[in-house]
Parts: sequence; structure tokens; C-alpha cells
Amino acid sequence: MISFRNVSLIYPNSLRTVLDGLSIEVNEGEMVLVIGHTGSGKSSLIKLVNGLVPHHTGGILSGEIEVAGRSTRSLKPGQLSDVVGIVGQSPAHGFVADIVEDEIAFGLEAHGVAPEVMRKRVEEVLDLLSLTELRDRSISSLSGGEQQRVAIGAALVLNPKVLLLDEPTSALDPIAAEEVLAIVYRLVHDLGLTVIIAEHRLERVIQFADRVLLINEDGSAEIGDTATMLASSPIAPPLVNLAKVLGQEKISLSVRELRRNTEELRNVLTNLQPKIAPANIGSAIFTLDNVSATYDEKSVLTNVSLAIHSGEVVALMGRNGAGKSTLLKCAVGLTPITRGEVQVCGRDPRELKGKDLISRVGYIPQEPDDLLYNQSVADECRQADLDNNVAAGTTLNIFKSLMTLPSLSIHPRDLSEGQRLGLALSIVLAAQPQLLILDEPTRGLDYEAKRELIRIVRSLARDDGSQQRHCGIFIASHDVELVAEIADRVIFLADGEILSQGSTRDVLTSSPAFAPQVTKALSPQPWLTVGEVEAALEGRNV
Amino acid sequence: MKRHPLAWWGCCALLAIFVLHSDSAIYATVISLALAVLVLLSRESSYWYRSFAFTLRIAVLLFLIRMSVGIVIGVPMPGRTLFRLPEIHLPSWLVGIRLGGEVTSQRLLTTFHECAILISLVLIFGAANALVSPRSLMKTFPRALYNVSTTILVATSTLPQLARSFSRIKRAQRLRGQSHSTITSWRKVSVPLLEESLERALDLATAMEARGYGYMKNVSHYRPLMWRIHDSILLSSALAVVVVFW
Repeated sequence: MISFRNVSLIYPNSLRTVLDGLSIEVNEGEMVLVIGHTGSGKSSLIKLVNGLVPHHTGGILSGEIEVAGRSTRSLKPGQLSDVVGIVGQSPAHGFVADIVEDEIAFGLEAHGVAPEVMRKRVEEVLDLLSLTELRDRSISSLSGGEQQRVAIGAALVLNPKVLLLDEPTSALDPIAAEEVLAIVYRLVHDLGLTVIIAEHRLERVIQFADRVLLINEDGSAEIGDTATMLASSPIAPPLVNLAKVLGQEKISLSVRELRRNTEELRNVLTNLQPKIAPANIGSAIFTLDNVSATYDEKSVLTNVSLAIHSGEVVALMGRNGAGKSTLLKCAVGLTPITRGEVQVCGRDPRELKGKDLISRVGYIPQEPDDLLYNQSVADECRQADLDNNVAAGTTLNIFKSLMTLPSLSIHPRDLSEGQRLGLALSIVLAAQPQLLILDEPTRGLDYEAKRELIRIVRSLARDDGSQQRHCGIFIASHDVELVAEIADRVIFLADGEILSQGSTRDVLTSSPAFAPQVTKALSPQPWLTVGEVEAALEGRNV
Repeated sequence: MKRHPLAWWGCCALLAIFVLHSDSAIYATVISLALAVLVLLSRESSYWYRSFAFTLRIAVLLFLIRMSVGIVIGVPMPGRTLFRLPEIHLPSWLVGIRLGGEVTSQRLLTTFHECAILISLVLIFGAANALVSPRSLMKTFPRALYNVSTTILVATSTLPQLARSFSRIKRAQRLRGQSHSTITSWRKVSVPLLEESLERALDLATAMEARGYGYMKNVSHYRPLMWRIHDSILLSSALAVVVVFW
């Protein structure tokens, strides 16, 4: 269905080869998962298939790409739109209409399909993606998962043979992600659709993929059967790492498979306990007392009471639209509170401004880009030094202590997601806040960047006497694997109310949808992470 | 109410012409009340429907302004004196105009009459807007204008987006401890905003291109609007009102 013959790609003004001599064949009805580090060219590869690269983005392409027998060299993306459908990284940015039905019909309108045929096609697609009930709704009122389904529907309406998905679940909570992927899986099996999907959160997709294409840093790529590829790949989901730690020869791709293969092995683990270092918890620095908030006459928070102490990492979980961001914004006085009291280090954050605010709370919004507006990394650091009234070079030194520095002259937008997050963190940390708040920090981060983030957050919470440390850290995240690794405590929010709160282990092991892979694989034993299992096993061996 | 957009607009246009021609405060009041009831009965919770609330507010504001101006400024008029305002004497070359002074019943009536007609025109226009979504009105454009209507469509869905980005960036500035309302802080909002809107525009262009927009000569309309018997009834009843009371 898709064939790449000796394809190489370079972007102008860039020294790096994005793809180097790639030759692959993808058959009809196959689901291929593209993996690789951030910025390794996953998106480029996806866009090559329908010609958006290089026709729309520029770039030097050599080799031959054919889709359903048509070469992308001479055909523009629009001319391939009847064979290839694409859903981009943020579907919300690509919506043309404001009503679900109209959005889905857009492709058909542009192709001049007769109205009667159009009605039938739209109806079919609505059914296929279970969107019938949402047909009259305005798109902006839909949840992330629903929007993703609308985007897939809009791409499928022209009956393409190939569907391209670029990180379809990165903004979704686990339940919505499962919903979307289950539909994609069904399309592959029912309609023989060929799907190419790029995704960071492998734990969500590997069980659906037929083959995996790994793009290396140098532009070379390998393709192979999912199990074999993941066994050797540096990028692997917790399940694969767990199988390795347990000494499994064969990699398991689903929880079911692993459980079947490790029935006896798991008995060994029953005698072990996960070792956890107790967190060194200080005084309460952020408290909510019976807080309610309404937005547009809709209640978004109802009677929420909680406390975050210095030295602890607390995760805030819940489905899309549960009010997580609203709750976090209380800490910087951005939520219109109708009742109750919020205190940050003994003060009401709504009364705090400028330096008073940032020396108490460091807040990284969902898009760290929002905090960055200068023209280079060096300018950003200098600006932060000025804003925070600290010695020149402080911010840069913090950045240096967090990660290897990128070139200082480049524009913040050209940094990788991980580096951008690091820069935003350094700027915020330069004010030495006592409370650090992160809203969905792992969006678009690969496993390596995530490990880095975990290391940084842990070291910030630890108390080693230095001023920079012993922060209270409050993280909102969908990423259960991150939460399992990082959090001491989890607060679960549903519809603006606290549903449950407790230690990470208690909360995560009791919720089937929000349980990390290791917990699912080893239940009913309360393990959370591969690291724990590994440490416990080694401890026993010694 | 699923009527053809042109039926509503035709109906409203006829009524507007009638109100202007008849020059009668009673007709104007009756027509605008009837239309307001019609809009409130249709109970659609979409944003163009909500725009009627905005129209109402404007109408009230206009009424207040026009009435007070009419009472304070104008030429002297006969009739029973209702009350007297303090009068400011104008220079002699401004003959016939006065500020304040006697307010007669005639003056009040004339002002109300003018007000009623002005406001009924505003309400008729507002009602037409509230009853027909601008998007469905665009569907009635001839096919030759498909590209124009798509552009407007995209623009209308982008504007609220821009407002949202703006407030998000403004909030983020607070998080960096920036002070507000200086020229530099304005620059700090506008640069990311510009970058973001450009990026959005590119994203949108990509999405539209990938869905085959702009390649086919013939485009078609999803759910093309049909002129039904109800539309004719609507339009002819408006016509009947006009003819009977002309």
C-alpha cells in the first residue's frame, strides 16, 4: 500500500539528516507504529506519506514514495486526499467548521460529492465512530477524546485506504485514549485500513501494532515485528522493561500475555515488599479550605479541601475536564473562587503580584511556551534574572544543573519539548518558589525526557539544606506511569470534586483504568514501577 | 426554527421597509414586540441566538440616549407643558434651538415616535441575525463564492480562538511576575500571540489541504438548503401584513 524506496530527507538550514536511505513496504490492513526520540522525524515520516512534506513544509527529498500506486513526488497532498487521511498532533487546530456534522462533511464538500451521497457518507462515519449523538454539538464543547474522534471521522469520510495518526493520545486521559485506539484498531480489522501511527506513550499502543518502525537519531531506521523491535529498542514501555527485569526471554506486548507467561514467577514476588524511602515532609504550604468555583454558571470545583506540604510530590489525576487545571490555577489566584479559602505560604494568592507571587509559587502551564517570549535562550535567562532580582547568570546556572545546555543563541521555539520544559522550569526556579506546580508536564516528552523530569522533580523535593530544595510539588497529569514513578500522594478529581486521595500505591492500585502497567501485570500485588520490582529482586539476591 | 435563511431575511427586510414607510410608532412597537417574542420562543442556545440578548441591550441603550437627547435638545414645540428643565441660553445666531426649558407633551410624543422607529429597525435586524446563523446564511451564497464563504467561515471560528490565546498568554505573564500595562509588556504579549496565530494559520492550511480543499473545480454543499412551502408561507404572510397596512 505504501512503499518508501531509498528515501532521504533534509530540511533546509539544518545540518541533521532527518531520514537517511529509508526503504520500507507497508501492506494493506497493517498497523505500523513509528517510534523514536522527540525530534527524530516521526512527524516528518508521517507527513511524507501524503506529501505534506516536502510540498507544504519545504525540505529536500530524494528517493521515491508511492501510496496506492501513486507517487507523492508530483502529486500535492490535496490530490492524495482520497487515498490518505491524516490526523495531526493537535486536531483542535485543524478544525474548519464549528459543528461536528459540518466538520465531517467538509472534505466531501471540497471534493464536490453529490449531496445525497454526502448525507450517506457522513451518516456512516458518524456511526462508525459513535458520534451520532454529538452530531449537532459545537466542536469546542467536546472533550479531548471526542474531538480526536471527530478529527478521525473527518479524515475517514473520503474513504481513504491509509490513515495517518500523529500522537493521537498525547493529550488524552487513559480512558479517552483507550476509546480512540480501540476504534482505530476496529477500523484496521473491519475495513482493512492501513494505519501509520506515531506515539510516545508506547504503553498505550504496542498491543495494537503489527510492526514497529524505529527512527534513530542519525536518520537511519529499522522496521520489524513489534516484539523483536522492542526487545532491542532503547525506547520501551514499562511492560517490556518489566519482562526484562523478570528475566523473560520473550517480550510480552499486553498485560494478558505477561500474566500468562509469569504465573509462577509472580509467586516469588509475593514474599517481597516494595521498598520506599519515606518522604521528608515539612509544613503545609498550599491549602484549600472548602473551595468552590464556578465558571460560566457551571460549577467547576465543589467543596475542595486539600493541603500540600513542602518536600512532598502530589499528583492530581482525573479525566479531561475534571477541573484539574482550575484547581491548580487557584494557587496563582487565577480561578474565580465563589466560596472557601486558598492560602499559599499563609497568603491569599489573589492578593499577590509580581515578585511576591513568583517567590512563593512557580507555575508551569500546560504550554510551557506561554512563559517564553524572548528571541533566544540567553535572552530568556537574562530576563528571568532581571524579573527575579537575582545575580546575572543564576537562571542559566539552574538550567545547566537541570540538563545539558542547548545552544544559547537559538530561539526557544526551536528547542525540543523537553528542553523547553527545562528552560521554563529554570526561569520559574530562579525565583526560588516554595511551591512548584506543573500542569501536564509530559505532553510530547519521550521516555528519556520523562526520566530526566522525574530526576529533577525528585531532587527538588528532597531536603539537603540548600535553598533551592525541599519544594512542595503539585503535578496534574494523565500519565499514570509518570505519577507512579514520581508521586508520594495522589488526589483524584472527578467533576470538580475530590473523589479519593491517599498514597500513590493505594489510589493507583485500586483504580483499574488509572493503574500503571506494572500494577496491572502483577496485581493483586501492589507494585507500581519496574524500578521497585528490580530493586526488590536485587535486594533478595544479595 | 428550521426555515430557509433567505425566508427570514426577506421577511425581516419587508417588515423594516414597512416600518420606515408607515412611520407609525404603534406599528413599529407591535412588530418589534412580535419579533422579540418569536426569537425568545425559538429558544436556540447557540451563540447567534445569544446575540439577541446583546441586541436588546443595545436597543435599551439607544432608547435611553435618544429619549434624553430629545428631551434636552430641540426646537420649541407646542402642547401642554409637562415639566420645566433649567434652560441654557444660546447665542442669538442659533435661532430656534434650545437646551433644556419647557418639556411639552408634543415634544415627548415626537421623541418617542422617532425612538420607536429607530429601535424597531435595530430589533428587526437583531432578530434576523438571531433567527438565522450566519453560517447557514453563507450557505445560500452562490457556488462561485464558495471560497469567500469558506474564508469567512474560518475567520469566524478563529477569532474566539485568538481571544482565548490572548488571555492565556496574558495569564502566563503574571506567572513570570511581570507588571502590567506597559509598552514592553504589550510587546511581550503580541510577539507570542503573533507567533501562535501564524502557527495556527499554518496548521489550519495544512489540515484543509490534506482534506483536498481547493483542488476540485466543483464543490457541493452538505445539506443544501431547500425552499419549502413553510418558507413561502412565512414570506407571503409578511408581505400580506405590509400590503394590508400600507
